[in-house]
Amino acid sequence: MPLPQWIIVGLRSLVILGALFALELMVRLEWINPLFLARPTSWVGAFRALMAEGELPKLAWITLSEIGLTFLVGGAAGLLLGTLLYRFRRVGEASSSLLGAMFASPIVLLYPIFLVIFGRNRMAIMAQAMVTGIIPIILQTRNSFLHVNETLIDVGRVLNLTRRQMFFHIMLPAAAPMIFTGIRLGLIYMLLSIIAIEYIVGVGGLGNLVSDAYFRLNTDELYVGVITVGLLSLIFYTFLTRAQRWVQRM
Amino acid sequence: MGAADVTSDVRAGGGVAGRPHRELRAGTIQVLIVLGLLLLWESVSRSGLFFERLFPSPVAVTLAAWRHLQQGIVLPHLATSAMEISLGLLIGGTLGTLMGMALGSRPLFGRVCEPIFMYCAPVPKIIIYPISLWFLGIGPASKVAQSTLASFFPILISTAAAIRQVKPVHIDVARLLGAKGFALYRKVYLPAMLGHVLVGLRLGMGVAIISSLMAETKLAEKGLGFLTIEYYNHFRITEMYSILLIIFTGAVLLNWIFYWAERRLLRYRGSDAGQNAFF
Repeated sequence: MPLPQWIIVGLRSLVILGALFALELMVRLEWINPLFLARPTSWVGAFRALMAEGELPKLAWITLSEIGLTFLVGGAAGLLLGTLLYRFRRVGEASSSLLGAMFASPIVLLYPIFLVIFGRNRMAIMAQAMVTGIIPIILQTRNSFLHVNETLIDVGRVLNLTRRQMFFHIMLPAAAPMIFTGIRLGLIYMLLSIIAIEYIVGVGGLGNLVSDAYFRLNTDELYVGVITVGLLSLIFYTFLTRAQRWVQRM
Repeated sequence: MGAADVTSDVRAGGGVAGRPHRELRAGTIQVLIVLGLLLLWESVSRSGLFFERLFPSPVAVTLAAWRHLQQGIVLPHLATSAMEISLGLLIGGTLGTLMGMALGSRPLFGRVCEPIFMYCAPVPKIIIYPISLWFLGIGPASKVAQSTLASFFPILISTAAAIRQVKPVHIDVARLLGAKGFALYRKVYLPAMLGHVLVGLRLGMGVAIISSLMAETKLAEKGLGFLTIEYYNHFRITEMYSILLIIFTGAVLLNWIFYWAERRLLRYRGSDAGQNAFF
C-alpha cells in the first residue's frame, strides 16, 4: 500500500534539510572553500541585509516589470499573429514550420543583435525575451483554433452566427485551454531569457545582482541572488501550472 | 470569421495534413517568405536608413561566414564548443538516464525526490555559472559543467516518464522468464523507453548548446560564443552576425540529424515518438 502524502512530504523535507545540513557542515569543516560556497546559515543573514536595504525587492521588481512588459507586448502580438496564421491557412501552414525550426534553434543566443540595435540596456533584454517567448504563443494559438471541435462549429453554423459571434462565442472559448498552454510556455521562456540575459549583460534586476556579486566576490550575495531566482522561477512555474489546470477544468 | 471558412478549415485538416500539391504550395510559400525576408533585410541595409556597420547586408554576412570557414578562423572555436557540448551531453545524459531510471522504477524514491528535480528543472541554469567559474575556472571545464547541468534535467524527466509507461505485463512476463536486475533493464525497459529517451536526448542537446555557448559569451577563452561576443566588443558586427549564422545553421542541422535518427531508430515500431520535432 502506498505511503500517505504527508509522510512523502515529510521525507522530501528531510532530504532537502539533509542536503542543506551537509553543505553547512562541509563549509564549516572547510572541505569546501568558503570563498566559493557560502554556508546556508549565512544566506539567511545576507538575505535579511538585502531585504532591509530594499535592494532585493527593488531588483526583483525590475525583473518582474521586465517580464510583465514583455508579456504584455509579446502575448498580445503572439495571439494576434497566431489568429492571423490560422485565418490565412496556407501562409500559416508555411510559416508554422519555419517558426518551429526557429524555436528549435538557440534563439536566445541572438541577444548580441539586440545589444547592437538597442544598446546595453533593458530594452535589448526585453526585445530578446519577446522574440524567444512569442513563438510558442503564435504556434499554439494557431494550433488551438485548428483543433476546435467540428460539432461546435456546426452548431454555430446552424445558429447562423456572424463571423464575430462565431469567433467570440465558439472559437475563442473552445480554443482557450490550448491557447493558455502556449501562453504558459511563452511566459516561462520570457522569464528564462530575461534572467539569463540580465546576468550575461549585467543590466537590470536579479540576474544583474548575481553578475555583480560574482565580480565583487561577494559569495553570500551571489547565493542569495541564485536562490531568489530559483524561488521566483519555482513560484512562476507552479502558479502557471495551476492556472493551466484551472483553465482546462473550465 | 465565416462559419463556412471555419468549417472548411477544420475539415481540410486545417492544412496540417494536406495532399501533395498542397504541401508543394506550402513549400513554395516557405521559400517566398524566406526570400522576402532576405530581400527586405538587403534593401534596408542598402537604403542607408541605418548605420551600415550596424546593419550589414545578408550577402556580406554570408560571405563573412564563408571566409571564416574557409580560412579556418572558426575551426578551433568550433572544436572547443563541440567538445564542451558533447562532453556535457555525455555526462548529463548518463547521469540523467541513471537518475531517471531510478526515479521511474522505484516508486517511493520517485514520489519523494522527483518533485525536487521538477522544481529545479525550470530554473535558468546560467545563473549557476558564477559558481561553476569559481570551482572550475574560466576554461572549458566550467562550460562542460553548464551543459551537463542543462542536459541532465530534460533527460532525467523523459527517462522517468519513459520507465513509467512500460507496461507492467511486459515486466511480469520478463520476470517469469527469469530476467532480473540489469537484464530486465536491457531486455524490457530500454527497448520500451527508447522513443522517450531519444526525445529527451534531442531536447538535452538543444539546452546543452544554449548553456555552453551562453556561458562562453559571459566569460571564456575560446569557443563560438566567445568569438561572437569578442566581435561585438570590437564592433565587428558583420563578423558577429556571420558567427551567429554558423551557430544557427549548425544547431538546426544537428536537431535535424537527431530527429532523423529518432525516426529511423523508431521506424520498426511505428512509434510516434519525436513527432513534436519542429520539422
